[in-house]
Amino acid sequence: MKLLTYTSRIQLFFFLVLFGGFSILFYLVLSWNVLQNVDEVLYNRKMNLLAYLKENPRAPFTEDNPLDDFTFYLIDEEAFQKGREIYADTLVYEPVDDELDEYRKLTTPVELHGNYYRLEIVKPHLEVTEIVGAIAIALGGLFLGMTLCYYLSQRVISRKIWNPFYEMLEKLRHYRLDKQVPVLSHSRIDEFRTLRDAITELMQKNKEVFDSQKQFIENASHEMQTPLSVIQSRLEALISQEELTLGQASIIESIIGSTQRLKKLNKTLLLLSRIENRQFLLTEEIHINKIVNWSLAYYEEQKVAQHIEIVIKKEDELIVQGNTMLTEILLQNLLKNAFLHNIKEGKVIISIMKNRLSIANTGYQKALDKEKLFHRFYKQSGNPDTWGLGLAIVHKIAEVSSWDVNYHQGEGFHIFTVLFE
Amino acid sequence: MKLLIVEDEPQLLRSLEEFASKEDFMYDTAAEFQSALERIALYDYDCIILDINLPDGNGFDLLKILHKEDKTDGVIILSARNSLDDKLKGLELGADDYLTKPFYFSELNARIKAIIRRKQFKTNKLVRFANLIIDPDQYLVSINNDKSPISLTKKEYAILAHLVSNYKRVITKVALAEYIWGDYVDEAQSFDFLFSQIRNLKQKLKKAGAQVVIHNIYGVGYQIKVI
Repeated sequence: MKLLTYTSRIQLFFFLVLFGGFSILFYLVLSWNVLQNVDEVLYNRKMNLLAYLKENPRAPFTEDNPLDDFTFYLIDEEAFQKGREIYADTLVYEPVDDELDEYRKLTTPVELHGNYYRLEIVKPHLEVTEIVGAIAIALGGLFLGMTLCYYLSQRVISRKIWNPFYEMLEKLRHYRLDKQVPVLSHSRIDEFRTLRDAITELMQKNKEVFDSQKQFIENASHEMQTPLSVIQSRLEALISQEELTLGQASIIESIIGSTQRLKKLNKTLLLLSRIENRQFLLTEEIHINKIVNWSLAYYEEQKVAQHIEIVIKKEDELIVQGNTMLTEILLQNLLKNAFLHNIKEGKVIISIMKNRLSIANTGYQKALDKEKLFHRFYKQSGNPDTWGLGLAIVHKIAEVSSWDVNYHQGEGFHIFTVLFE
Repeated sequence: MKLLIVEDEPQLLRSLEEFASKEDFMYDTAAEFQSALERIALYDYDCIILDINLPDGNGFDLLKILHKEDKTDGVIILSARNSLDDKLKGLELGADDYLTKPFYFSELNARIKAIIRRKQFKTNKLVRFANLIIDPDQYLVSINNDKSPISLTKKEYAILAHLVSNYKRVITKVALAEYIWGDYVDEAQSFDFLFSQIRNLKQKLKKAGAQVVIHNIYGVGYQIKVI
C-alpha cells in the first residue's frame, strides 16, 4: 500500500470515528439543552397560570378544556404533601390521526383557593425533535463537508510534499551500477534534502567502487599478459632444446597446459570486463547465416569423429545489428557447447528464422539449471578443464546487444535460442 | 633482412632475441622509446616489432613518426591490450600486423615471414622447402618437377605451411591447435584432431615422395625436417 493512501486511510478512519462520537455527544448536549428550555417554558407557564388564577378566582379551570394545555386534578392533602414537581416525556393519544404523539409533561402539586390539585401541563415534543434534528443535520453536514475538504486537501498537499521522495524512489529503482548516477532534484524540506544528499553520496561511492573494480580486473588482466608471454616464450624455447628428454618433455607439457588455461582464463576475463566497460561498437550489420556457415568448418572433425548429424534449417536470411566480433564469439560458444556436450551419433540442429537463431543438440545430461546456467563459473559437468564462463559470455554479449538468450529442453535436445531485438 | 625489436620487458626481449638469432635474422634491439627513436632515425629496417607500452613513451607515437617518414611498412605491433580500438589505430597508422600478448613465436614468425615474402619475393612468392614447393597464394603444395599438386585439405595445408615457415623451431601442439581451430573447439578434443590431421598429412607427404619428415617431440610439439 502506498504511504499516502495508508496515511489518508488512517486519517479518514479516525475522522469518521471522531465524527460519529462527536455527533452523538453533540446530539445529546443539544437535546438536553432544548429539553431544559422546554422545561423552563413549562415552569414559566405554570407560574403564569397560577398567578392568573389567583387574581381571577372565578375563572373556570377545573374542567378538561380542549382549548388549553393544562389539567387540574383534585387531590387530598396527603398526596399534596408527598407530591413533587416532575418533568417527564409522555405519549398522548391524538384521535385525529389515530396515533400517539410525544409530549413533555410537567406534573406538579398546587394549592389553589384552599383546595389541593395536581396540575399537569403538556407541551408537544415534536418541535424539539425537529429542531434538534435540523441542527444536527446542518451542523453534521457542515462538519462532514469540512472533513472531506480537509481530507482531500491533505491528500493534495501530501502528494506535493512527498513528490521529491517519490521521484527519488523512482530514480533509485531504475538506477544501475553500470549506468550514470542519476541527478536527484532539490527539495525545500530538510529531511528530504538530507536523504537526497545521503543517497547521492552512496550512489557515487558505489559507482566509484564498481568502476575501480571493473578497471582493476581489466588492468590486472592486461598486466598478466606480459608475464604470460614470457612464460610461454621460455617454454617454447625449452622444447626446442636438442637435449630434451621424455621426462622433461612431460613436465613441460603439463606446464604448457596450465599456462594455456591461465591464458584463456585471462583472455576470457578481459573480454567480459571489456564488454562490461562497453568498449565495443554495436552498430555493425551482421549476417548470421554467413557466420554460421564458416564456423561449421571448424567442427568437421567432431562431426566425423562422433558421427554427429548437422541439420541446418534456414527459413530466412538473418541480418542483425551488433558487434561482429562479439557475435562471432557468441555463436562460437554456443556451437562449441553443442558439439562438446554431444553424444555419439547425436544431432546438432541449427534453425535460423526471421529474428531468432536456435541451436539444439542431443546430450547426456538432463535439463540444465536455468537459473544458474548463465552465471559465471557455474558448470554442471565435472570437467576440470572448463570454467563455466562460456555461457556467461553468451549472456553478457546478448545483454549489451539488447538481445535475449534463453535455454529450454525438449524431446531429448538442449536448445539455446537467441532472440534478436 | 634486418629487424628492430622494441620491447621493454627484459625477459621477453631476451626471448625475442633468441628467436631472431635462431631464424637468422639480423636484428637490433631497443628497450626504450628514446633509443628506438634514435635507431629508426639512423637505419632502415625491413621489419619492426613494436611493443606499445614503453617506459618512456608510447609505441603509437613512434608509429606516428614512422608514418610521417613513410617507413611503417613491415611494422608488427605487440600489445598487451586486446582492444579493437588500439588495433584499428595501429593499422590506421600503417602497421602491418597486430599481435596480442601472449603470442606464440610460431605465429610471430609466420607473420614476419609473410612480410618478408611480400617485400623480397615480389617476383617469386613460392616457398621452397626440401623438394616441396608451396604456393601461399593458391594454397597449393607440390613436389619438385611434379606438375600436379598434392591433394591436401585446407587444414592439412595450413598445418604444413605453418610447420614449414617454422621449420627451425618446435611448435607446441597447443600453439598448432590454436592456430588451426582457434577458440572454436575444446582444447582436449582439438589435440586428438590435430593428431589425426598430422597422421593423414604424413601419409600424403610420404606417398607423394616428399623429402620431409614431421617429428613428434615427445607428444609436446611438432617440427618438420628435411630427410
